[in-house]
Amino acid sequence: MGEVAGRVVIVVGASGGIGRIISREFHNEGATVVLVARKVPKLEELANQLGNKRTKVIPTDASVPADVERLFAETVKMFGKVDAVVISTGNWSPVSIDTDLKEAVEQAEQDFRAHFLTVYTVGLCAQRFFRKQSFGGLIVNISSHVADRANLVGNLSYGSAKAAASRFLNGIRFEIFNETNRIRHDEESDTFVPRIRVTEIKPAIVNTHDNKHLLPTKEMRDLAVQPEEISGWIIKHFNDVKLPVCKSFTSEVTV
Amino acid sequence: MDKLKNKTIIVVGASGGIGSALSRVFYGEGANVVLSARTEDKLVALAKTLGDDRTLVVPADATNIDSIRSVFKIAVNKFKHIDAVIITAGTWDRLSHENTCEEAVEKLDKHYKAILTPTFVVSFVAQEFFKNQGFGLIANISSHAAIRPELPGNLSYGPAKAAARHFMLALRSELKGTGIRVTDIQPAIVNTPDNSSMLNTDEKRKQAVQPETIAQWIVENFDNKDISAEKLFDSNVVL
Repeated sequence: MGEVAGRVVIVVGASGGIGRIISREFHNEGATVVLVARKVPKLEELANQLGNKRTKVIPTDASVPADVERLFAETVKMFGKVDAVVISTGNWSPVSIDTDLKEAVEQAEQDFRAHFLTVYTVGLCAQRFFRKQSFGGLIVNISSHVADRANLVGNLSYGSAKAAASRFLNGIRFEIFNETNRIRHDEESDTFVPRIRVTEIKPAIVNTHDNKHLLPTKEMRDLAVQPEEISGWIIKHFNDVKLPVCKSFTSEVTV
Repeated sequence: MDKLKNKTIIVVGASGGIGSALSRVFYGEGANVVLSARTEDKLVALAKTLGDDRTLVVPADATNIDSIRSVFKIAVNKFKHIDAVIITAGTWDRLSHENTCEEAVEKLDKHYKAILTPTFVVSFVAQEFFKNQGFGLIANISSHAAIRPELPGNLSYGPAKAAARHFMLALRSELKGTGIRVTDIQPAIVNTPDNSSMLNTDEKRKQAVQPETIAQWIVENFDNKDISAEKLFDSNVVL
């Protein structure tokens, strides 16, 4: 217990994969977790597993501004504040030059909605909300190593969506950096600290349930990035005033 | 003057500021130029100023696969082969963190449809065509906003261009060894009529990137087997 005890964290995409593990680990460390996704049954199941104390399920379509604004309002009404939002979206679907053209364009539309529009909508709403909160807030996006690497086959669509999300969050960070009230005085430590912090996690393939078909052997699963490594890093750096703008997790596994 | 003699180039977005300037230079270098965009009138007017002998007007919707496939079909019927396709898409529009979330999503939708979808669709159709032909150049006119998150007011346009750039680099990587070359061109603000409200003095217009400079670079690298993956055209203009 330490870094995140008593914190209120919204996890967007909590029903599956990395988001589910992050929710669990944050809860274990004493945080209050707001579980967000479109699929309610999976969220309810996770909430029951964690125990209904310090958990709340709020079904939300995170690509719709009004829905996300309501999510923040409901969280505040219930828990008094929001310390952080963690965005963990969707699955990888391959699109390469050999993909059927119609399928490729359809997949691009889907990836854009899942991997970019969600980050865009939640990111914009979150920074607007954090701006009004005296102590600001933290925005964490679970991106991917493909955001910075164009040489991985099958990432014509997923990679582009992740690159766009990354570019967007960097843009947000610069716009905030240029503001006069971007720092606040922290009385406890008597130092000036940034009000809104933004970071991106860029892992190679992660050992999640959703990636089972890509990681068929135990050896592969062991070599992949473990979701607990990611949640551990976020928890460790939760209050870090010099939070790195991005954190990579590499893997030796070849898929 | 005849550096592009017997070359055929499809210019998507030929009615716009950069597209029309590129078309003019290519034509001047002796190329066959296929002018494409959604609205026919401007294309016909441009073709008239160039001359009818080596121009072909093919209106198309760059977000529609079949529409772009038909451009290639009509163009190859007339000119026998296609050497390059140049994609110019989307105009700049401001979006910053001060905008409401609703405005933001609305603008993003617009930018996505105007920038990423055409780049995606045209490149995909182009590589399908070029694969059968055995050679071809795909050049996308992106923006420096794709790689410069520090530019204010680019929260929607910038990511859309960043996605298009990433797509082009990934496509280039997948097409390695096929004879199909891919490049992403990233200019700072370009001196076009569309940008006249931001470039409101002669000095600013002079300092901006000239579309002819971009065109000249494409001409010089037209047959370059090692054409660079991306090319930045910078400017000192203060807006």
